[in-house]
This record gives sequence, structure tokens and C-alpha cells, in this order.
Amino acid sequence: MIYCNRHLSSYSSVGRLHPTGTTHITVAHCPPLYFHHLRTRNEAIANLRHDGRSDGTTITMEMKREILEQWKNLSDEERHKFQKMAKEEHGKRKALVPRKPKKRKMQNQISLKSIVEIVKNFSEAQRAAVIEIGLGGILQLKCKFLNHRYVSGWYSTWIMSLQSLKLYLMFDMFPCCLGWVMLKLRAYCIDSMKLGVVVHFRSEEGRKADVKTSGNECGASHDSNGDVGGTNLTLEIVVGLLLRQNMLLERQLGYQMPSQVGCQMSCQLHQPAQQVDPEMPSQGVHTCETSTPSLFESPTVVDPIRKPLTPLRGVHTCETSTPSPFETPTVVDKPKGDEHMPSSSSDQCSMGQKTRKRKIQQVMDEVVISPSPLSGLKLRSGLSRGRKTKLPNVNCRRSLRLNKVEAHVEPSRLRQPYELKKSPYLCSSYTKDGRKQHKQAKMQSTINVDKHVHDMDLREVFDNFDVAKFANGYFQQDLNLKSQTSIFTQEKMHYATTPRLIPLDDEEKLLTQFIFDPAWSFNGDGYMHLALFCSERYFASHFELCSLKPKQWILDVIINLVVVQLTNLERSFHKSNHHMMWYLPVTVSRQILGYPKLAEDDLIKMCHNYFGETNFTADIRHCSRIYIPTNDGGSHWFCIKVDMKTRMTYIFDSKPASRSNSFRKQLTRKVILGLHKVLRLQYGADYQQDVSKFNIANVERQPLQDDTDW
Amino acid sequence: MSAEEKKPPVGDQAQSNQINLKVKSQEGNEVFFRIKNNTQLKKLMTAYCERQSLDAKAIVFLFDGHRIKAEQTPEQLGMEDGDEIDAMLHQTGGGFGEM
Repeated sequence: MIYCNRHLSSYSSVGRLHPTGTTHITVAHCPPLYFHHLRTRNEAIANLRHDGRSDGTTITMEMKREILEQWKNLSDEERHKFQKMAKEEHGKRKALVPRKPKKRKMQNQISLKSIVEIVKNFSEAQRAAVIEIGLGGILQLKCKFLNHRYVSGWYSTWIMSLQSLKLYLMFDMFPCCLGWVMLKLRAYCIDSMKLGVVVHFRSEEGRKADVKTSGNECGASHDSNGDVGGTNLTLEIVVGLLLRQNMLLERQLGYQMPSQVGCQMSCQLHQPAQQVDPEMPSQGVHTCETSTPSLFESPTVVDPIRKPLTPLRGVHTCETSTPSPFETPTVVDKPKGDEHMPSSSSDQCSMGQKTRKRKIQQVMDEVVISPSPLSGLKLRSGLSRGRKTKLPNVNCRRSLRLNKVEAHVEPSRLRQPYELKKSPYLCSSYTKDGRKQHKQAKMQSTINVDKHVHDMDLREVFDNFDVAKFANGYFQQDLNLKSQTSIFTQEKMHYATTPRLIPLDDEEKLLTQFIFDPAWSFNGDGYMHLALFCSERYFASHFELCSLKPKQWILDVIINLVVVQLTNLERSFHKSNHHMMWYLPVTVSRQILGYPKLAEDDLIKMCHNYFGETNFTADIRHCSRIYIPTNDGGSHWFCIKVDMKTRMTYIFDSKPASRSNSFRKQLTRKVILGLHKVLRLQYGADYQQDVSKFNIANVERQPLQDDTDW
Repeated sequence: MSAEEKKPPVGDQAQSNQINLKVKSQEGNEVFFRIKNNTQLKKLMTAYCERQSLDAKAIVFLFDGHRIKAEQTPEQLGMEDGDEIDAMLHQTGGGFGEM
């Protein structure tokens, strides 16, 4: 066989003659028949075998030569004829054999750009088919490039463009871009404030039902020369700022906000809201009910400065509510004298429009807090809340927070210094045990008020704030989600009675919706964090923020966020970190209770993580109070307040009960014992008071929660 | 999960890029992980949660008192070999009741 093959190759190489001439006769007599097989020599050999003629026969050199000679003897015409016949024969045979399919390269990865390009060229039928198989979203893709640098959380200086805002509003479609867009927003805000640019952007109306009320139009003009701590700006502020700007411009087109991005921000931001009020039909107690969708019907704000003042449709829908002594009037009352305070709507109606406007203007020069209509009652009962506070020159964050503390919760009324002196909050003693200390502290505080009114103001604000927050769940109110209940009204009533609804204003609605938009919960596993409460230490995911919703238990993460905010706020009022009130995160009490032995390592770790000027505390010699939120059995929050000056420990408990009180006292005892160890380790000789020997008392007159499980 | 768990040291070159981390639960249980410096800690978190049969949503990881984001890497946080991460379950409780 090998032999034969070799000869075949030699045949083909020489004259391309058919090698099948096994007998001389065949080859000699009919050479043309073989010539046309010259291209299919393998087949010829197969035929040869099949015929059985290969038995014993070999293709010898003689045969080869014979054929070669025959071929040479042929004339050119004959040769050409045979060649043509062989070609035809070959073509016929080739046609019978099916063609092998070409090899194709399969591709299962494709770039975003390619998808967009391919999809762009789709026909209608193809589009319909794509939608039919449930991948209609692909057709919507427009973005060709993902900037991974931004996606990963790093961003550089950047100015907001129109398209990015659209993207921001389209985040229900592209949720993964959300974090990126938020960073852009933040960077934009920092830039615009620093540069003093005027930026206007507008986007389409809400794309889906529950995003309808999100801010769609925004115009902002900043002439800021305030020192904006750009890096300190949290996204919360940015979002709040944007929403505020939205609301302002919706309400009053053409209003130029002289944004001093500092303490005045909060005053000015609230100014237009109050200025609108005199335009409304006069009524004493009115709530600002807004049909938000109509807000965004207004045209693009091209230049808010030149636009004429036009009252917007749908911004205010005045509801005349039944005048109630517990209702909070929006309209500012007379700043002096509680006896003259109008307590019903008719009284306020009798005030002239001009007078009211003037008074509003007057009062708006200062950030004012007060629970007005019940102040008489409040004074009699010795409970006075709030205080006139002119905000110092603080950074944006603080002013915003402070603004939230004061302006949102409290109605506007100016409190007078003589009221301040009567405030028991200056020393925060509510217990029987603490009465003596209270009296003493009151004496001191009265003196202090005369000397340092401003400082005492702040202290009272904080005192109010801590009571409200820890025992009363202030931050729920801050977000206006959970309770919608007037804490201070309840406090005036001393104990929980019927809670009162405070309707959300437009801005709060937007903010609420912004935070709790279900479109954000895309990731589901809780790893996609919102940067909303982004602070250096703590942050909360969407899932965790949702614990602020009604009828849900609050997570420790949220309380830690409040602690961080309060610490920042407190620090901003004191120089060189000598702040007086310390707020410790939940983790401190948790670790103290979790490690009852509190080995040296644990103490060192706690000192390193939570104490010291770089953390939550400062110099112990300046410390007056320490607040430690604590959890009881994974089901209830209460707050421990260690008062260094009165040498008392108080428990703020919104749901005290005889059964649980003793247990909570035990917990408190353990916590302050641990605190004592930590403080001793951290501050050494500076720590002179033994915290663990302080008496423990429940705060008596504290706001209580309903008999609910929430 | 098994990829991230404790492995015998492979070599000097591999070791220089990898660090050993200890995740300590509130009960004091410790789980060791070996992780690359530039790997997202999400992987570690997921592995820990799977191992402990925990919901990833219900747990918080703290390093030096700072909460760790899933996207962060040991390199970004300045972690070193043998550092300890605290794993804490969420605490929850009733707040101020509403109507």
C-alpha cells in the first residue's frame, strides 16, 4: 500500500496521470478514461481495490513509463480535451459532497458601546422581539462609557451638567449610577459655592409615580463668600440644600438667595416660606399642604433674578383647621409677652397683614424657637422649651442641623430673657433625687444666664435636644417620618396623651421621599450604601435607614449617626475640642455590657476607638455631661446621662415600668462602672470624679411613648 | 468561602500581598481569614456571614471603631497582618411610639 501510494504521488507529480493502470492492457487501450481521473487519484485507488484488481498487482515503473509515454504522444488538443473532461468530472463529484460549514467564533462578552451601537441599528421588528423576550431595557441604553473611577467612589472636581442631573432623576432606570451621581452632586455644590457661579438646571418631570414629587427644577445662585468646608459637607446637607433651593424657587420664582453658606443659610432659607404666608388668606392656624406634582409645572428657571414674582399654583393649599390650643401656629406671634399671645385663629386673623408681615420680617432676622400658644401653661408648669438663638458663624453643616432642630420642630416666637431664667432645663434635674442639686444648679444657672446668655442658650438647646432625641426619638421627628408628633407639645402635657400630627411641609416631603425611595433598594443585600449620612465613622444603608419608618424598631446604626451629628454640633460650639457634652455611640455601652470582665485589652481598645480628641470625647476637665445610649435586651432603647457637675446619673426611658426599671438600673450601673474604668485609663490623673459612685435616678417628667410595641 | 479561609502559607511573594485578618464576634468567637490587600472586604463579609449562617444585612463590621464599607479594601483602611475586625449584630429596639 505504501508502495502504491508512493507511486501515486510520483504519477501525479510527473504527469498527473491516473495510476490505476494495473494491467498493461487497460492502460494501453483506453488511456483517456484515466486521464480525467487525474485529480481524484485516491478515489481511483479505492476503485482499484474494490474491483479486486489490486491483488497481486503493483504499479510498476513500467506502467508508469508507459502511461507517461502515451501522454507525451498525445497532441496538445487531445491533452486539453482530457484535462477539460477531468475538470468537469471533478466538478460533478465535488457538487455531490456537502460543504463543511465554516468555523465561527462565538462571543459571549460585549462592551457597552457595542451594545448601544448594535441596538441603535435595530429594526422595528427586532426591537419588538427584544421587548418580547423581556430585555426591553437594553433598548433604552444610551450610555456608552462607564467611568469606573467615579463608580468606585473616587471623584475629582467636576461641574454638574444638565445630563447628569437627568441621570440623577433617571436613577430608577440606572440605579447603579446613583452613588456616582450623588458624588457629582456633592462636588457640584462645593464648586458652585466656592466659585460663586449661577447654575440652573432642569430636568423632566417625575418619571414614575413615586418619584413625581422629587425635585425636578432647581435654580440656584450663590454669591457665597462664606468659608465652605467643602470636604466637610456631607451629602445630607447637599441633598437638603438642593431640595431647599428647589422649594424656594418653586414657591417664589425670581427670589435670589443671598447665600451665605454659613449660619445665615438657615434663616434665609426659611424666609421666603414665611413671606408667602401674608399672601395667603388669613387664618390663624394653617398648615402648608402642598400638591407637589403641580410644583413642577412651572417653566425652566432661566434666570431667577430677572423673573417676576409669580405666585405659583399649587404651592399652598390652605387648610383651615380647627383652632386647637395644641396646634402650632405657623404665623409668628407677637414677640413679647405671653399674656398677649393670641391663642386662637381669630386673634391672629385680627392682626393686620402689614403688621404681620413686618413682624415676620423682624423675627426672621433671628432664628427663633418657641412653643408659642402654650407658653403660659408652660411657664406655670415650669417647663419652658426653646430659646431665642442667634446662630453664630458656624459652618453649613451645623447651621443646617441646628436649623432642623429649631425651626422645624418649634414654631416661631421670640422668647424673652426673663423666661430663660425660669427654665429648669438649664440644669436638667427632674428627679426627686436630684431636686436639691437642681435648686443649686438653678441658682448657678441664673447667674450664668446674666453673664453668658449666649452660652446658656446653646446649652439649653442641647439639653432640649438630648431629651428629645434619646428619650423621645427626636431624630424620627427630624426626618419627619415616624412619629410626626410634636414632642414639645407632648412635653407640655407632661405625659403621653393623644399625639398630634404635624403635616410635613414640601421640603420635608421631598427629603423623605428622597431617602426612602424604593428605587434605591435595588441591591437588596444592603451593600450598596447611600452616602446620605456619610460621615467619617458611620454610615447607613438604605435598609438601615428604613428602620426609621413607622412601626419599626430603630437600629443602632441610626442612633450612632445621631451621635456623630450631635458630637459634631457640640464641637462646633467649642474651641479646641473642649466640648462639654459628650455623646458616645451605642457601641460603648454594648461593649461594656458585652465584656463584663473588661480586660485590659478591651479597655485599651475602647479608649483607642471611642475616646480621645480624635474621637467622641475631649478634655475630661471640661466635661459636664456624658450621654450613653443603651439597649435593653435587644428590644428597647434608653439613654444614660452622666452629669459630672451634679454627680448624678439619669436614665432617660420613654417606657419605664416597675418591672424593667430595676433591670435597667442594673444595666446602667454596669455601664457607668465600665465607663469609670475606661475614663480612668484614658485620662489618668485628670479624671478625679468617680463616675461609678454616682447615684442613679430615673427622669421623672420625661416624655413617654404610647403603650405600643414600637 | 473556602478560597478565603485559612490556608497554609504559599510563599514569600504571595504572603507579601496577603494579610491575615481576625473577625471577632460579640461572643468572642474568632474566625481567621487570609485576604489580599486589594480585595474588597465584601468577600470577607460574605464569607463570614455564610460561615456563621448570618444575614449580611443584620451585621456590622467595625475596624478600629470605624464601620467598614463592603467596597473598601484592606489597603484603603490601612490594615495590617493580624488586625482584628469586630463583627456586631444590629441592635434594635423600640423608639418613641407613634399613633
